[in-house]
Amino acid sequence: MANSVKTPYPQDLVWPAHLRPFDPLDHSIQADPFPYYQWMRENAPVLRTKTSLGEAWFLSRYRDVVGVLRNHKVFSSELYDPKKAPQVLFMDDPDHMRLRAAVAHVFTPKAVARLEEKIRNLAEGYFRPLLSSGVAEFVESFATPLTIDTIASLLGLPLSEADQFRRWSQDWGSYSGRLSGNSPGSPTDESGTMAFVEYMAKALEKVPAEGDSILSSIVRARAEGKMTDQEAKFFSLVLFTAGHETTTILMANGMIQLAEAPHLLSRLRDNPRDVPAFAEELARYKPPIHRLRRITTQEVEVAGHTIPARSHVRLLIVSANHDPEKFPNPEVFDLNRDTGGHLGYGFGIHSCLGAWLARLEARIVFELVAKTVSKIELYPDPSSAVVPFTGGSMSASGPKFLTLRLTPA
Amino acid sequence: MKVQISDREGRHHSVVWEQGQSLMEVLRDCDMVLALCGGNCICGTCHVYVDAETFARLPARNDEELAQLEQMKGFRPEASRLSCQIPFLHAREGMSVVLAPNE
Repeated sequence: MANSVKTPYPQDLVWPAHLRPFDPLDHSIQADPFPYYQWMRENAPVLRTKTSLGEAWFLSRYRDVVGVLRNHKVFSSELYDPKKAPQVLFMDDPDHMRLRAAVAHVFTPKAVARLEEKIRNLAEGYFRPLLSSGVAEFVESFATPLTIDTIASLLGLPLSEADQFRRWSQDWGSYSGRLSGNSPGSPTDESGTMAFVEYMAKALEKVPAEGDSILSSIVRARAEGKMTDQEAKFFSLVLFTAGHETTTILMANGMIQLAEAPHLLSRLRDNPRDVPAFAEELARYKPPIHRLRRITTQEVEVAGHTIPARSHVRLLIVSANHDPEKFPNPEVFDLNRDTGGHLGYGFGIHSCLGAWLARLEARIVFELVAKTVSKIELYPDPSSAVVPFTGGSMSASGPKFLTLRLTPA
Repeated sequence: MKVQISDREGRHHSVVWEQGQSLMEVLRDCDMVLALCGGNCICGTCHVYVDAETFARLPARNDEELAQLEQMKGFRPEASRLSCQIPFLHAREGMSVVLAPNE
């Protein structure tokens, strides 16, 4: 294959004054990667980076990103030996499909719709104190407990250990990020993950095989020989963490959006039927996961660049969602937009299993907000400024803490 | 609108197809297909065989659908479709659909 285009490294390029040469491990870039991705999409749609973790190829245009996600045989998800920590996001078919098929029935639109009343009751219960106090931190006091309670009850786990679950989830994010060569990890990542795995092992021993929770489905699949013991433990853990971290960030991003564009809140109040369109445009505009990872199984050409076999490829789904070739006027948050094909929930065989659950949770929360709140403001006190999420697997982007002033309707 | 479905055990079901749904969505709501990729024409888990009359009336398979189907062991050139690629527009009262084997 002829290497027709020489792929630049960040230091080969002249970056505009407001940006530094792109560094994928830089926490300040992770806090707000949008301007970097826009510039890369326009000026270096295929970019190589070299860090202490090795080399990676970053793709930022919609058509290149979707092309990779379609081609899952050449762009493998198996970034590390699955025996080490079998995790469905980092497995190829048929193993990925085998695990996913065991629980897919729990996540269909029809199945998650049965949870609506339960989630709404939880949401109202957590939101009431925020509304009455007027000034409140949204992530830890609302979005995290709501999403943890929801996924814990779906899995069949007790709700009493939410704080512990949250810490372990962060450890797991760092651990899997480190194993897959995406982040340097953290001092507690392995010990926290192993404690979490042991917790799940015990939970799997306790749940009844005939129950309708996710863990019961996993116990049945294990008994039928469709899943090993190790896979069952890690799959339970992965479903749990995937079920709350990203949805939490999505909700928090939505509150920022409503604070910055008050006309959207009025529109949702007057037209509650627009809430699903709001949630979908939010997942396009500011998805909680901003990059996905793959590894090439053979040499392959992307947009005229030759990527060698065994190369780590990073897919900038945020950037793809802002590619004007796919979404005209991408920087406009537009409730009337056709969001079809956006990558906020991924694309292809690994696309988000819990997407319908996330959509349901987002709809319930923003319906509640539109009905009960007339004004949302970012709290102006600098000591309560928005704290961005950093570290972890380096793939999530959004607020870690978000203090808001809420005016009841 | 009702369509006739034969599941993988050979049982017959008469199922309602509502406006706005793709055939895959109808089958997914009945827990008959996994539709793992959510309708992106990639995973092949919504593979079905349609009756000859329906097959002739449907628009031809595009390159992506055909490429996916050709990889499947159960591919039948004269009947195989990915149900995610069949919108309500092409629904026909009484049409018969057979679920292809799981692969």
